[in-house]
Amino acid sequence: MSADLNSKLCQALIEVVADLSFICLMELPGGEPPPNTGQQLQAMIPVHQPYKEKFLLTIESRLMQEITCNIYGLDAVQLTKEHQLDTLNELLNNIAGKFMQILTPPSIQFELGLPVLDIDRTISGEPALNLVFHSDESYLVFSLIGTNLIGEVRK
Amino acid sequence: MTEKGNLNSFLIVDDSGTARMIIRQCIEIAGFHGKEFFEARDVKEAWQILQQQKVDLIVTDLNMPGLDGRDLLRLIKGAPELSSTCVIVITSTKNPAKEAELRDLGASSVLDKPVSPACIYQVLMNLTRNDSRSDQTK
Repeated sequence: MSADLNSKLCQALIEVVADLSFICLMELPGGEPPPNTGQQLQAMIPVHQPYKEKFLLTIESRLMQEITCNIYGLDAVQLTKEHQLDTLNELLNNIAGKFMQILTPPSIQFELGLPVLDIDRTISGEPALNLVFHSDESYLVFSLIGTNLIGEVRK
Repeated sequence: MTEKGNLNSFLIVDDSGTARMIIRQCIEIAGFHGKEFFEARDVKEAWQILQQQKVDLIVTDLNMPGLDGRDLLRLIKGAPELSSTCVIVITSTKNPAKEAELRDLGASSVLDKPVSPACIYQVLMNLTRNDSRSDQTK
């Protein structure tokens, strides 16, 4: 991936999270997704146009809880699981939109599907490009899955 | 007429409760605290509210399960009693091509997700200004 495009995509993700929740993420350049500890949440959003591919957001539960607390202005004890899962889907929707704005020419419309929870999905064997971020000891992985999007990124 | 003082009731349509909460907070921070807010999770709920309540401004998501924001725009602009109501569309898939399509369908403004109080304020002030100008020419 070109350094410039990588920088734009990472910056877009960091800005969305910061705008929504005031949490500052740092990129782990060339970072490998940490092993699944069972303490993760995942959501997937399909891209319908101009390609049929998908984005996957994997996030540690404690980071998701922190993000949700900040967005709602609530303490962790006041949060429900529904708050967190809805926020996860909305976060993914926002980030995917920013990525597609960067990857798609302005004259071409792009369409995303509806985000769905996608627990314990493994992307081994699928063409994927992972961008890994951390906040303190918690991490977030944003994955592009599918050959066309990765092709655009690697041009 | 969309005077700031006359924007007393808002309908927010989004299938995400988190998004509805963020939009409402942005509108309140933009200077509309204490106004009346209605919320709908989908177009069907929104349409039911619009049959029962007078709403000064509608803020809708574009991508929703079942009928979407485009369908809501068509319904509103096709109903004589509602067609003059301003509709702001909020979407994560905004680009120039999408904005042109939605404005053709009657959207007053198209905003990118995530929204901020500053961009909501700007849009509401622009709507107010445009209406004031059109009133002066009448």
